[in-house]
Amino acid sequence: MTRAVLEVEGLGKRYATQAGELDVLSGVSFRVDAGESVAVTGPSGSGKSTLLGLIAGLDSPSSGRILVEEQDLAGMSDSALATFRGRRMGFIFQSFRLLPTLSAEENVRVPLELSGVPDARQRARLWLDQVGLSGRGSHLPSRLSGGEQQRVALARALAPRPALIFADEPTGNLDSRTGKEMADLLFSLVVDQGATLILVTHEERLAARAGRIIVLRDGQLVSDSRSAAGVH
Amino acid sequence: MSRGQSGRIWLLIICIAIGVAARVCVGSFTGTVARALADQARPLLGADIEVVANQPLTAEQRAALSELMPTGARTLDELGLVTMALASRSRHAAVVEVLGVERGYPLFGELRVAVDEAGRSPGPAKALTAGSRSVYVQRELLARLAAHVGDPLTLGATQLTIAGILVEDPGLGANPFVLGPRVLVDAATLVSTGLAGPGARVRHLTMIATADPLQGEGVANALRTRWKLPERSATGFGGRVESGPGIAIRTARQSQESVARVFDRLGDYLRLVSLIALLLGGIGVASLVRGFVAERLDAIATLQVLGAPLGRIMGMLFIQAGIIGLAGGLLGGTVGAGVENLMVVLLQGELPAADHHSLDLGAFAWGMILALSVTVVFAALPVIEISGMKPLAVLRGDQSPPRSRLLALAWGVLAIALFTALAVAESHSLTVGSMLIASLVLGGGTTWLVGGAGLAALARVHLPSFGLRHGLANLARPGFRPHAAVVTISLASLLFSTLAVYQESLQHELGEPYRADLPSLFAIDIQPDQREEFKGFLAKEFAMHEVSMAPLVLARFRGLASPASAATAPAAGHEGDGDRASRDREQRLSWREKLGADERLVAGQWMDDRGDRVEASLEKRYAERIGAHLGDLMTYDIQGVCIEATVTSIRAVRWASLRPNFLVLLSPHALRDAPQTWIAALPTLPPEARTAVQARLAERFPTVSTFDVSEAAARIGSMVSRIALAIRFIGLFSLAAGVMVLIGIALSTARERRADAALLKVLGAGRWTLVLSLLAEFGALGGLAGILGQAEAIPLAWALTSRFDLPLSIPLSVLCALALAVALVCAAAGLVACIRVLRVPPLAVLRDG
Repeated sequence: MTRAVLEVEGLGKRYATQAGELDVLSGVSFRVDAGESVAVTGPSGSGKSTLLGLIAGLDSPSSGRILVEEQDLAGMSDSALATFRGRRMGFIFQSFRLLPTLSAEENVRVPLELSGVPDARQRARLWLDQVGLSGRGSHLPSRLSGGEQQRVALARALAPRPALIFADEPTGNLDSRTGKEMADLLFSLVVDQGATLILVTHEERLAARAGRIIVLRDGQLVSDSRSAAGVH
Repeated sequence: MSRGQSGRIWLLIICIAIGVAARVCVGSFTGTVARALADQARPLLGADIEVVANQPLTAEQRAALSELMPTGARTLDELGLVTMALASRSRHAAVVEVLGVERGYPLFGELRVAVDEAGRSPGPAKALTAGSRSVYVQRELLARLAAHVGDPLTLGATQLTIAGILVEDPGLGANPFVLGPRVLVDAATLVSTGLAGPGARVRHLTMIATADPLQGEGVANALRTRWKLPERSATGFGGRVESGPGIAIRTARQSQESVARVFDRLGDYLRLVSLIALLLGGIGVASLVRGFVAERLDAIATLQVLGAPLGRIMGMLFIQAGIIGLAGGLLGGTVGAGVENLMVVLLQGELPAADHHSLDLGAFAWGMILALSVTVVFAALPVIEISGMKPLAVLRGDQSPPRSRLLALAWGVLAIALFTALAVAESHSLTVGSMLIASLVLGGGTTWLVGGAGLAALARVHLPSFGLRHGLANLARPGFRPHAAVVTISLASLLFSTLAVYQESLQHELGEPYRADLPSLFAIDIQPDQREEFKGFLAKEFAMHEVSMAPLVLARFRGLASPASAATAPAAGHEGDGDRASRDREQRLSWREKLGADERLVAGQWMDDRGDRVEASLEKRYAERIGAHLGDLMTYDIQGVCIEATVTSIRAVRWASLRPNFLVLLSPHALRDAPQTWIAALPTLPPEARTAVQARLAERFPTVSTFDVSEAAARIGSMVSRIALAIRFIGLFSLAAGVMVLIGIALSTARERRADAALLKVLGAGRWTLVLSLLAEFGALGGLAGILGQAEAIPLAWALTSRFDLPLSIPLSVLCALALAVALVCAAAGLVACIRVLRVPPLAVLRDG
């Protein structure tokens, strides 16, 4: 049996609002094995980002349990969670989220240095080469195009060799051609690394490239299926 | 548009309130002192009119006095002199100002003494009589003499008894510059000591109380007219009259004004320091409003598109600025009045106290006017900049939409003009006010440029720790403009560091540890026939063989003439204002064979004593004051004998060395036979030996007074420290204003900081990494500002010390500590301003897209 990287059991998130309590997510359960690529999709307000936040340990659930590499996130302190995220998780965001005052290379080095990796500089340069940005390492984000910024973000996510990569609408701010190039790079590098990808998107074409698609609606998991890419 | 901006609005209000609080505090405090002095004008002098003369009044003068005296007026004669007092029991001696009074003293108020040595429970004094042989003394004398109430005290050759401590003595505060504590004694007893005999430097005082205080001025004017006296006379050592015929008339109002002038001068400087705080607050306002406007450019452009004219929008912003200014003025005024009240309570007993202490409405109103004008002027700077902005350029997201830079520059010039006018008004001096603003503009501009380069360099420093490196890199954060903070904080720290350098230089000059070669004691009033005996006594009793002595010849300056303007009479050559003021004034001349250790020639040649020509060597500043140049002729009257001396050299003198030095030196052959006394400088002695020498000299030479130089140095140091403390206290408001600017600038990038913090948490950063980053960023900013402030302080302090001929001494450790303190304050302020950043949940990174 393949090792589970992520196990979600009966996950729920409830917010108190002026109109009463609101269930944003309820009774969501699924399991993701190592090396899988899973697309989480659904209409706006279906709970995709909430689910991502919970399984990445950015927020705590109201109910249910999350195990990442067999470790229960609920039992971890904030600082332990931060360290765990830095070493075992990588993140790619729609708006790139690069630190504006650091160069491209320094941005890639951030999670490596926070995890205490000794050869952070060399690894950061290596990863910039991998995403096709050799020679652009000293540039500040403001001097890079959107596509280049997202490549830096990809290098930053993969550099610590995480077990899980979370990508939140990674092509949402890119034009279609650059978006496709980015998606190609993302899937090929994730496969090369043997990492697990959790991709949140509302783009059907991008979701279809994942091996498995989870559909959320009104905070509930309504479908969990292998995609054509996964079947092939 | 200001909805949801309560934090920023409060910050704007505080920026203004700080400067206003400082101004209202200073204004109210000086007002309180001035009112107190006005209330106490009569008790301050102890009379309505004081006639002081170097000789007893002649029968003719007494007749004139009686003739002009209004009905119901009372008079009282007093004798004053400076001498040594010896405590027979402890064998300690000190210089004192003795006042011999008659029955009926004081004319106004009440003499209250205490027998308790802490000065508690004072009661009405028992009248001093010739038979009682008692004296009342100021409490500080007991400490100096290690004496107690009931102990014997020797004045001259007469032993008296200390009967009590003076707690209230009308007339005591009339002269802020005294040579020693007061000893109050019965006039007949003072005469019996022999100290007031012929040749002694005695002041003969006639105190006059009129029935109506308004009569005092009229009587004084009539007396001056009758005796041909100027309204104000120059006084010298021990309050002796040094100008005219040796008589001076002072009224209660004049006495009150002369004391008030001391506070006024200090008040002028403190008002300028508070103005700096207000200026820094104004920079904070401009900086905060710039951030506010930048964030609302879209909203402003949208309103324009919807049909609102830009002028109306700008008008709205001005009205908001005005309201904020008024709120700042109100808050600052209230805080300033509160602090002033606290100061009055804390300084009770140290300063004249007003009977009715109330809110100074004038200072409060002025604070409000300042707040309103400074807020509107500074808030207008960034608002005016957008007047040329096209809404389309903003809405399509142009990086730098065109702005009205020229208009803003013109407005900036107007702001500088406003502050110059305020500085001139506050300092009552066109030179001081305009120099201050020019220095601030020059210093601020330099700091802006150098600080900008420093910030860019710091942002590129690659430190091994990620937190530190990220913090430094944030100094170049897009949209983050910390230049204003660097300028304001460095200007505030400049104030502190300049004072530190000045005080160190003074301390280096006056402080005992540095004065191995300088004298410990001065002895004055040594008669020529006592010289050898005096020297012999010191050699025999204390093995002091190296006592340097200098002669003093009392002369009257009669005039200055330049041979270049040969057509004019000698006394009316190119006489300047200073010369006119110095005319007929008593002056102490001296001679010496060669230049002293603290002198250097800056012009001309040292005098040649071989010929008949009389040469004069003048001190540089004195020569400037009277307008004397090389080759000029100076005329002196020495007890009826006129001497003409040619100025052949100008000297620079280090006065702070406290060695005997003179404004005017003449050729030795011209003065050797003139009536003279001698001054002796006794070599360095340990403190206990000084006490013993003073006591023995007081016993052996009762008419010779000895001054402890270190005591004088300590008094100067203490006075400078008190002034520096007052300036530092008001300077703290400037630092606070600088810190507010820093907080405002930090808050202007709060959104970006929160986003970064959330991202860093997602990427694995712990709380400590974020704290370290903030501390590095704001600490480095503060450190840079502190270092720039210290660096700028050195030339400023140099200018200041040069003015007083002090060698510059730089306290590096103090300056480093100050820069470090500024860095720590900024780091702490930045951390507090960004504390919310630490609490941001990592989930925020997803919420913001």
